[in-house]
Amino acid sequence: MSPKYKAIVLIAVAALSVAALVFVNLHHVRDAGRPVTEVESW
Amino acid sequence: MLRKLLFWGFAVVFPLPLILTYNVQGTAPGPLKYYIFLGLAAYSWWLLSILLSVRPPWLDRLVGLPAIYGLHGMLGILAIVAAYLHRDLSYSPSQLAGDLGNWGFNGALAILCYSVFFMSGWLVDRSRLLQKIKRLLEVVFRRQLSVWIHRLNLMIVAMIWLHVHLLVRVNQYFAFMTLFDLYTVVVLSIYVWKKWIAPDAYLMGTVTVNDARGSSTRRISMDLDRKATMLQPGDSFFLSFQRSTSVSREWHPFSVTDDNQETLSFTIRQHGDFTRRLGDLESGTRVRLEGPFGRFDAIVQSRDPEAPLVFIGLGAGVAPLLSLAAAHHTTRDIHLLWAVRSPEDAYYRDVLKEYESAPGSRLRVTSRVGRFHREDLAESLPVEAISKGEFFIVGPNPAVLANQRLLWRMRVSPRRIHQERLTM
Repeated sequence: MSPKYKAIVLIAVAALSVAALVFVNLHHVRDAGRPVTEVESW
Repeated sequence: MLRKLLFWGFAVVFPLPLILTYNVQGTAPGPLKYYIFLGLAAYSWWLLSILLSVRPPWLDRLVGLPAIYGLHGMLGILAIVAAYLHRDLSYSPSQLAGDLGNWGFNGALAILCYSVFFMSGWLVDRSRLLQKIKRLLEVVFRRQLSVWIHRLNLMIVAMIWLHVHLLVRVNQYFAFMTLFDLYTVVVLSIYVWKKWIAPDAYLMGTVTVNDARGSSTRRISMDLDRKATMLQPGDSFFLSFQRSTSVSREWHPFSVTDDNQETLSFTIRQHGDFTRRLGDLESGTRVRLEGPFGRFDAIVQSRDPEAPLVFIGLGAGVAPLLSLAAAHHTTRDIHLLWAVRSPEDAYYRDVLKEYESAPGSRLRVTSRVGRFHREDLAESLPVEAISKGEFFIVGPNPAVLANQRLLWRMRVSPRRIHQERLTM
């Protein structure tokens, strides 16, 4: 595979990873619904 | 010095965005927040350590590979200390998160101990007993195996990343988690780029000569497909021999022996499991070259132009000094001291004589069998060279350290001593 295509694959995978992680992080916030108190988190 | 301070200062600054973001968003009570900061610092330092392992040549030109690897190692230790305090003082509400954190910590500690012994030379280079033990153990724990064990640190980072994602006391803060994930993805992407894409742009060459020099040294020359325009005297490259039946493709650093940008020659001492197999390397083997690396010529250019240069080459360590001598023997006072194991190991005697007798040459060469002692240096070097000269020492680690101590005892300022150790 040429370096150009490798770079495209890498950038695409990195961008998709960030998008997926943003989705997961939003999900965590929705799950909590509000900031979790320290007592709950312990 | 200022560059190195800024470089080390970057290690302090690197975790701050993560810590400050958590500080703004997090609601954990005072002490717990600080323990979380310690965990964040440890994780950031592991990431920075991975980032340094890609050894960008531009950073090498600024601070040098020894400083890069020095910080890489120190960050490993600092991260373990911070992670230990974090683990000991805080508590994980999730069983899986706690287990991942503990496995990550224990794994990182084990890999750190392994790497300090087999890869760093911090302890082994200072003890003959440890050198013997290491040599025995290297029958099993070969260099390439050590590199792969070291790479398990990536698994540790993955474990800690998951550990953080499972903790409700941190994963509920969107901005913080996004920044945390960006740190991870950017660093790992740079690492993948370095291992997978960057080598395609490296210099390529073909081995043309592979000769024995002395009892345990080889001179390997290669024609490059294109000129090494960035090459400076005293530089080194990491080499990877492609599709050779005698040696594997693992990367190893070697210093360039002469001052030619089209054909590079390397003088290689055969003391490790990889270099011992180089005797069978076939002519025509393709080579990938990463680099050049090195700061010797930049140091020569930046210091007092009237100060004599003292080159101390220990065995095959003379290689980069030879290219420096070739470049500067008519413009600078150079004293080249070359210590060899046996008379037949003085394989560059003729080349050095040629430089020494060239018109306008200011090079003086002293070679001897065995190490230089204090009286040898006092006898071979003029007073001005000892009091004002810039010293460059290259050779096996223990020998370089011994010569460095010798120069300290002769009151040569550490600022005037520059060294390159033949490691890896």
